[in-house]
Amino acid sequence: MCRVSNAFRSPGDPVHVNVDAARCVGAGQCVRTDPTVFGQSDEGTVRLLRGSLPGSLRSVVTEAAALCPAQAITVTGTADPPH
Amino acid sequence: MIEIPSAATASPQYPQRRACPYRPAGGYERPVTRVRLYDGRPAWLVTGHETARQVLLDAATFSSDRQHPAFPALAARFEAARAVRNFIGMDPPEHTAQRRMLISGFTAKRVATLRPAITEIVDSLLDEVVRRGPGVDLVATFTLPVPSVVICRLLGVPYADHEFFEHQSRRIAAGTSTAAESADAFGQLKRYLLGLIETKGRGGEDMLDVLVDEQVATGTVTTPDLVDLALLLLVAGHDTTASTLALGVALLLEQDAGAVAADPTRVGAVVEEILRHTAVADGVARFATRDTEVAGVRIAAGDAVVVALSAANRDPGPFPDPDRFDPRRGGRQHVTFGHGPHQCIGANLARAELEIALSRLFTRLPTLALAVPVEELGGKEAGGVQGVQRLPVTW
Ligand code: HEM
Ligand code: SF4
Repeated sequence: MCRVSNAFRSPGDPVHVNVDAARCVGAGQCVRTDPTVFGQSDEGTVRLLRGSLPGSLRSVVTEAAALCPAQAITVTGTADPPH
Repeated sequence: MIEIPSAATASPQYPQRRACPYRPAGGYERPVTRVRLYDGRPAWLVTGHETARQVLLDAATFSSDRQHPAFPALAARFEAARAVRNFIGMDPPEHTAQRRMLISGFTAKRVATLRPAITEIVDSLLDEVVRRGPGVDLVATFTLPVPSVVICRLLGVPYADHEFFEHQSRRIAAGTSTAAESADAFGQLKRYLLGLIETKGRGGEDMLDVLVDEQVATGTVTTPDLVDLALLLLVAGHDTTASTLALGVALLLEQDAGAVAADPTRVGAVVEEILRHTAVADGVARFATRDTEVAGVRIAAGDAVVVALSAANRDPGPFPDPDRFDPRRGGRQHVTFGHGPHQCIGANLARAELEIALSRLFTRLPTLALAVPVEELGGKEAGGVQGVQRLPVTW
């Protein structure tokens, strides 16, 4: 399975997380992993509570992505460029 | 007729009865091996952790469609369950549309708001345990009632009816039930739920009220379908949670680890390790919808595939020294609740129930001990939810 490797990134780089509510099956694993990053809408699907995250949260969001049973969470290295 | 090649006759049986109720039977080869089902049908048993996740994630290749003739039954009595149409036995997108209706009832927020009610339920059941005194059977007085009262509360079933519910769902789950008995229990629960649902809705707050107001009223789901959904929640969440709780108590007593469960800061990790160890849903069935390859093994369209959750949880890769009970593992990657689109919808509810039940039990009865040796607790028939028949304790 393809996961973003963090080996060459310093923990200080911001981490960017994408969630796909259409794939989410609402098992709530992510909320258990970090309730400050992941929430659930009233319909029960995943919702990001914060946009760009500090690098210190990289390991916890990577864990959330790995545990998500629906592959609804993806972690990329950097924040999206400002539009 | 399925032809059984001679090699398959020599392959081991799955499922097998557990010698120790909280240890998986078999010692099957990893990550994929050939087994024989109860009716002699050959099947692929997936035992490796990563392979298990891969198979469960790919619902397009590995179907859960229980009405399809290729879907394998793990015991004779499950042949009857083919007729029940619930999303646990459907594939996406049909599966996902039904599941979507329910997930709002199981969000982390919803589960958190239920915690005080769960604590109250647990404490009042423990009052009765204490009143009955040493020698009491915790299965009858505690582990079975906790999830049944909780699910009744969640759905909006009157408390007065919870004994009826427990009795009927026990008849469905019991390994000793005949197909006719479990069909009768299903019928009784259905009739009851139909009557109950007619009184629901109109702005009420229970899960059934909300489903009637939002889904039945708008035509998304029919009343008979809602009856089947309620039945699924009731059956899927009862014996599983009850058995995990009973096995968890036995395991903690054997390990002399009750004090850790009484510690609210550590009970969460204890529950995860109990879940990993016990895997009461020992294996989940699928069939291949097309020719495919898994961990180098070629699987043909129509082949039976069983994912042995209990074996995947003992894979030494992610779980070094897998047979050791060690709450410090801190790993949540066990597959006791499955993986992929069918991953247990009630996982966080079950965790809350287990955490509260274990921490209250060991806080109130710190000297708890088994009244009989583990071997006398009576395991369950292979193929169904694993557990014990009784749990007599002293303190
Ligand atoms: C420790 C307790 C529990 C265990 C071990 C457990 C285990 C499982 C497993 C392994 C599956 C996946 C089946 C598959 O992939 O074919 C599942 C699905 C399910 N569980 Fe649980 N469960 C537990 C508690 C609960 C509770 C408390 C509820 C609800 C009140 C519940 C409701 C369901 C439902 C509705 C499904 C079907 C999900 C789907 O197909 O999308 N379970 N459970
Ligand atoms: S873990 Fe995945 S499937 Fe579960 S709620 Fe979070 S995003 Fe949805």
